[in-house]
Amino acid sequence: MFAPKEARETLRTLTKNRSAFIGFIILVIMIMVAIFPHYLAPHDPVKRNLAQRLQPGFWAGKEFAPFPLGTDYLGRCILSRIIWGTRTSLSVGFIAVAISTLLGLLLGVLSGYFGGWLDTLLMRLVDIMFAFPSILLAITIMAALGPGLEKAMIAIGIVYTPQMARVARSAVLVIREMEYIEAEKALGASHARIISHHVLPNILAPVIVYATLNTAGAILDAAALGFLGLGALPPTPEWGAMLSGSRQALTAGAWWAATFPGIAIMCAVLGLNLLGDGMRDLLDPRLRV
Amino acid sequence: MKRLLLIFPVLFGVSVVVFFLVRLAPGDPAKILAGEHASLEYIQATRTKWGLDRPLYVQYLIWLRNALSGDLGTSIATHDPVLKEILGRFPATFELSLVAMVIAILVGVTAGIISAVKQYSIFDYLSMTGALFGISMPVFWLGLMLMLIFGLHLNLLPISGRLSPDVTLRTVTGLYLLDALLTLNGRAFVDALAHLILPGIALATIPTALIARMTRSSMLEIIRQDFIRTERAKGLPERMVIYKHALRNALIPIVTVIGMEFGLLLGGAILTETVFAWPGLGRYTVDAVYARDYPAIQGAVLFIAFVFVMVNLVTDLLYAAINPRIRYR
Repeated sequence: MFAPKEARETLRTLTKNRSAFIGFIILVIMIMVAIFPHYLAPHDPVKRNLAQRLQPGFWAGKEFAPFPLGTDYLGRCILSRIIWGTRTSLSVGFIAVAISTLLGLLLGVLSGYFGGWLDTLLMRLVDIMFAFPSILLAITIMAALGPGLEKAMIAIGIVYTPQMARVARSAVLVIREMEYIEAEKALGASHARIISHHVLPNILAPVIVYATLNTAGAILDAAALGFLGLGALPPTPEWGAMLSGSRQALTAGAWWAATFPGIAIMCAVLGLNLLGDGMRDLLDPRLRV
Repeated sequence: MKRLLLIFPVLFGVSVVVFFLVRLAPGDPAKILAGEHASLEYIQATRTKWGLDRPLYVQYLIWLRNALSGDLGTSIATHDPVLKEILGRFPATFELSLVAMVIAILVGVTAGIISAVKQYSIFDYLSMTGALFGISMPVFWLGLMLMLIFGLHLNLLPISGRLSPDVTLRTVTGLYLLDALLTLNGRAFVDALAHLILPGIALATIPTALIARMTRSSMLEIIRQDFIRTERAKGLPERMVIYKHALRNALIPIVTVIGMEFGLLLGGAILTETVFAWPGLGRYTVDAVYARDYPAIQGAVLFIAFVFVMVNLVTDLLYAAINPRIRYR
């Protein structure tokens, strides 16, 4: 889609915006960790070792170094679980956002381009979905689907669809009135051609920005579902699920079990927020926050 | 007026979604109602008794009719009316959300104004970095960290529940702070307040961050406008310019964000209540999901969505009231 020159251009603009650049670097590191966890993790992330439960990590002295960040209540290596969890959490985030972006684009473009009763119907549907706080909707969908990682992806994907539909729709509404669309129509271009050649490429910028920011939200929501025991099923290493048993670990004095998975979540979300905010500033300086 | 009428189709749609979504769940509701070891005959009898053998849309209409007359069904887990349980727990959630909102407005608006007035200062830099971290943190993790530091490590504040077991309080409204004031119970007031601090801060973090960012950008936009320059040129003291003229105009988008955040607090409360064992509606919903208590899930989700819609409506109306350029027809 991008010519190499344009890609270089985009990258150059991105590096000029410091926060976007930092976010980009964090994201790249995270993706690398997600692709190569087996080279990075010191231990098997699901192997239990009850004799080694709730052991502290490197701060407690040399003899604890085999588990750099300590162990959890089943004696599993926390660092290894965080590293493998990167893969789980990032894939939930990306797949959920892919679902919501595709669905949202479809609904938003149809709604904005054709208008009329279809627009009214789809936007009322979106209104209804907006009547639920997002995590509540996700929990309700999970209650219907039952727990599991794939189901969490679907639930979060559905939850983020209405927002994407609105973003796409309002972008389409602007494009639709442009003169070149008029010209295309006068030349006899089909709706499909106008949408794919003229509407979609021109609404891509806000969609990409929102997709980035939504990925941050999706990772947080996936972690929340995991924390509530409705997301990834044990023993899958997932950041949110790692925190779900940690209240007990805290009272047992094992602060590390509750601390590090949260830091991992925060890093991933922070990186995506920085990147998303930075891209938004570049694309629409008026929205700068 | 039109805005008011619009909520009816939305609420209707919400009820459809809640009913059918929950009924989509795997498992035969009659079996769950009858209990795990019920005989086939008993399951069949239960099915007839609860009308579960009738077509789904008929069941929906009956459920809707009952819900409209204030009957949200009976909880499978406790055999109590769902509405009674919800109303019993709602004050806890409401009180927590109110406290979080007060914290968020006080801290968020203040930080936003200072950041805007002293743009690019150390304070601006620190508070905006803080805001970025605030929106990037999982609420439940922040709750755990607060619990670890202030509850377990420093042993300063209680980490679960609304009152200490040895403190008694006669409930009037269900809002413990208010109840303590009404019954002139100083000890309970202090105790309830102490219990509110950690969950309140955890719940307030995201709204605080968003309000601070919104206030800052809104103020920056206003400060640059001509009429502010005029006010300054007139020789008006800077403080007057900021608080009397700039802030009043900047307030419009801020109020919208505050309204939106208040609704979102209800969602955040689900997680915060789980961490702090807070006996509110969020915790109730999650417990209902664990227990597959379908009438309770339907009732709680419907109730929360209803409150959420109402809060959004009030926000929209407030928005129109403070911004004469917008009028709903």
